[in-house]
Amino acid sequence: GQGRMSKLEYVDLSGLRIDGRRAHELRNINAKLGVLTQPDGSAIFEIGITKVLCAVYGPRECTLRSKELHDRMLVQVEVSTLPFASGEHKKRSRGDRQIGELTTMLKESAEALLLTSVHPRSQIDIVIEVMQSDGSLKAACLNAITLALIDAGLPMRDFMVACTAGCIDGRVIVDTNYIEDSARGPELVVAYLPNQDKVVTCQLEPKLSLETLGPVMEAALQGCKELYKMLHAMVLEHSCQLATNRGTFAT
Amino acid sequence: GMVEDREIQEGSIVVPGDRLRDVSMMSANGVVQIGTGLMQSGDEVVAVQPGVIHWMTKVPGVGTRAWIDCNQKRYTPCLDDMVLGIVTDKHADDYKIDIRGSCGAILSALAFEGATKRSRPRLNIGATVYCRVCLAIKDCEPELTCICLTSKKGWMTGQAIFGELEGGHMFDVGIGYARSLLSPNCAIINLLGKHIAYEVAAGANGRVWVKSASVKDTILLVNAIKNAEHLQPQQVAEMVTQLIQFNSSD
Repeated sequence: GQGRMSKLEYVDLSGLRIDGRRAHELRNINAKLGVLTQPDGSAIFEIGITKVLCAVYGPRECTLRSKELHDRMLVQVEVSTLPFASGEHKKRSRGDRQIGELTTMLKESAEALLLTSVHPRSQIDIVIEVMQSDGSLKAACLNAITLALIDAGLPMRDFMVACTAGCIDGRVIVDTNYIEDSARGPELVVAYLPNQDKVVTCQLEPKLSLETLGPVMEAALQGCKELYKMLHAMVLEHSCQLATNRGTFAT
Repeated sequence: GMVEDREIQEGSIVVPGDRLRDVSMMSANGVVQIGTGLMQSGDEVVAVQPGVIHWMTKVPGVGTRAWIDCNQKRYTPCLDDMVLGIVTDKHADDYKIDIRGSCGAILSALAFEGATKRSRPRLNIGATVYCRVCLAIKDCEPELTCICLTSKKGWMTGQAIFGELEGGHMFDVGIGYARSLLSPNCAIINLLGKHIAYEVAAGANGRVWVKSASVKDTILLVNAIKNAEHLQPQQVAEMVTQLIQFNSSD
């Protein structure tokens, strides 16, 4: 006889996803700034069990004079994934194409976010370490970068936030986890500047129909706005704590 | 606005992206000189760095000036700041100095009190120097000098304020804290001075150098100064008393 493949229901009849969330719900987030003492700025960003560490070094003198830009800061990004970060233990080589693409996207986003003309002829190194990977990794890296750059006090034009949205079985969902990411449905990552109402980065793969693009984009932006409210409050609290300890701020 | 428009006042904490929509709150005629950490966007003032926002009215020649007090680890060179640098490179006429900033600074080989082409200090790579910033423009490398405006003691006498610091121990502290160490009423410096005889040099770039007669005293000084960064004044006095007692009981 023919076996019948049981189909995984990503969004069931009552509107709940595999992990019990509703379509537009984000997972729990956590943001910690200043987690490392050596770099000039550092932060850990967690969403669900996806966890990304970001360290920022600079602005400092360019390591290679030939790469120096006379009117702005050079931004370099390096991404590495810990072997135990995802479900199976595997060591990713440096030249991994996925990591290369991610690195380019992060670099371009950081360059659009930072006021690079404030420190001409200098360089900053952004080092990302993916500690745990459970979906929406690109968005998590972007958020970790924003937090680390804030910790380093680098001048930036806004508070960049990023969110992922997808469409599975005709349902638009926000902040996809690993299982939803692997469903081969479209995945849209959006990096957004909330105060300027501008989109910094937008990446879609594989593809979706034009009619679906509108709702998916809208869902991603809505997720960004919610994330901004939470991260803004967390960073404000952290800064208050620091300033109070230093005695430069009276509560 | 995304976040409910909270009222930003003088002395509030701000985060990059926060906007001050009503400039008339800062300045009656709506004219504000924008300092570090802020940027203009249309008719609004936007914070670009995290920190405490300040504004001062009635600044002579300017009116109202606004800026953000941001605690970074990296130093941004400012004219007339006193800084502690490390020699990283030696050229025929000048030295390249690391001042913990975005760019290495230049110290001319003759920029020492009483130095001539024949007699001038020879600094080695790795030497510690105490100098003053004499040029700080963002498009140029910052320039330093060891010529003091007030004291005329030559570099050879060993009593010049600026110049090479020999011996002792140098360590890093927060930039805001280092500036407060330079004040003549600095509590921790004066308190420690009552118990231990020592030399200290603080740089606006977040570096402090101490030198005393024994290694034990030096360690005590370093720990005391580092710890005092996050303590309230009464706690500082208690800490110093405890450290001195512990030190002398050995």
